[in-house]
Amino acid sequence: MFAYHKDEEFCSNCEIELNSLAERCKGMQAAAIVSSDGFVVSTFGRLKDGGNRLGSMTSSMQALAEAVHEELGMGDNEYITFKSSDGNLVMSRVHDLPLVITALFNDRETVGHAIFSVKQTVDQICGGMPK
Amino acid sequence: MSENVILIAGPMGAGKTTAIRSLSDSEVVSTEADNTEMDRVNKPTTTVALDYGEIMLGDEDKIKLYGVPGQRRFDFMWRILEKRALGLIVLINNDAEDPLGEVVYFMEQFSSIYQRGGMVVGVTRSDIKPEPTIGDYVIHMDEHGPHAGVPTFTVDPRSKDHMVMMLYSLLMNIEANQGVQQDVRVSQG
Ligand SMILES: Nc1nc2c(ncn2[C@@H]2O[C@H](COP(=O)(O)OP(=O)(O)OP(=O)(O)O)[C@@H](O)[C@H]2O)c(=O)[nH]1
Ligand SMILES: [Mg+2]
Repeated sequence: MFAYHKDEEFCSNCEIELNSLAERCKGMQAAAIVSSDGFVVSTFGRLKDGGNRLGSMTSSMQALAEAVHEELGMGDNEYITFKSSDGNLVMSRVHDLPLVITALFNDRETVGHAIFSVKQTVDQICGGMPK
Repeated sequence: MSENVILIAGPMGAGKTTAIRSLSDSEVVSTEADNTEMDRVNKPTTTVALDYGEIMLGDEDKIKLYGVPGQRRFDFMWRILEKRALGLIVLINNDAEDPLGEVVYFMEQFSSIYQRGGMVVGVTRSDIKPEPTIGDYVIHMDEHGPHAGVPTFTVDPRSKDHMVMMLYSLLMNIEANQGVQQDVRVSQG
């Protein structure tokens, strides 16, 4: 399995995409792109321990959500959201790549705009690759 | 009918997912992701959240089996799942870099279960690397922990028989330890 987190060029492209996402969403506070087994590819914003722990948790959450989808025969999981009193967390797979993106938004960002913007970033990372 | 939770822990590649697939009567829930650390442990996928399966022992006892991820970066899952566990099976791959160090590490990580006598050890992949021996494990654990006599077996997680035997031994041991604790309370009271 190709280790995206060890490919410097790919990592810096992802960083550019996260910065661009932050430009489009002023309420985005932090974000990370991680391999599906939890290694950090790139991050935005201030994250404890460089986002390593968030990376592992993102990978676990995504896998659990997919297990629930499979159990219920719901088709493919598209994204996950967590709502708190302070805002929203959005997680999504990066299409067919073994990668997951997670982004934290404050309550200035609507959940709809947050999801839409994360999806745009996913498309950008895949370079417009068809799903 | 009683329902009890048994956890399976141990290093990456020890055979935790394999063991739950062997043991479970029902279809297992898996959370495998592509393994990007093939140079460390050569297998295509790795567990990132949990494995879940169920087995009936007799007509009365349903055992819920949770496998945890082996990689230490996922140790938050260990902390979440250990809270519900009655007992723990630690699987150690004998071909790991430092298998004796690993067994003590897991003993310490799950010390509350270990302390109350709820742990057994299964040494796997000893067909690939026969040493250390079971005796080496027992001596090493006795040297590094306050409780002597953690039941230790050679097992192949691909074998349902091996895993059922180990699961029974664990449950018997837990029952015996509970009996001892009750006896102590009675004689103190
Ligand atoms: N030859 C041999 N192979 C074994 C034995 N036990 C396990 N294996 C193999 O070793 C591999 C173990 O893989 P998993 O079951 O995914 O390991 P795991 O402990 O769940 O690993 P993580 O989830 O990554 O922590 C599988 O390919 C098993 O078939 C054994 O005793 N002998
Ligand atoms: Mg596993």
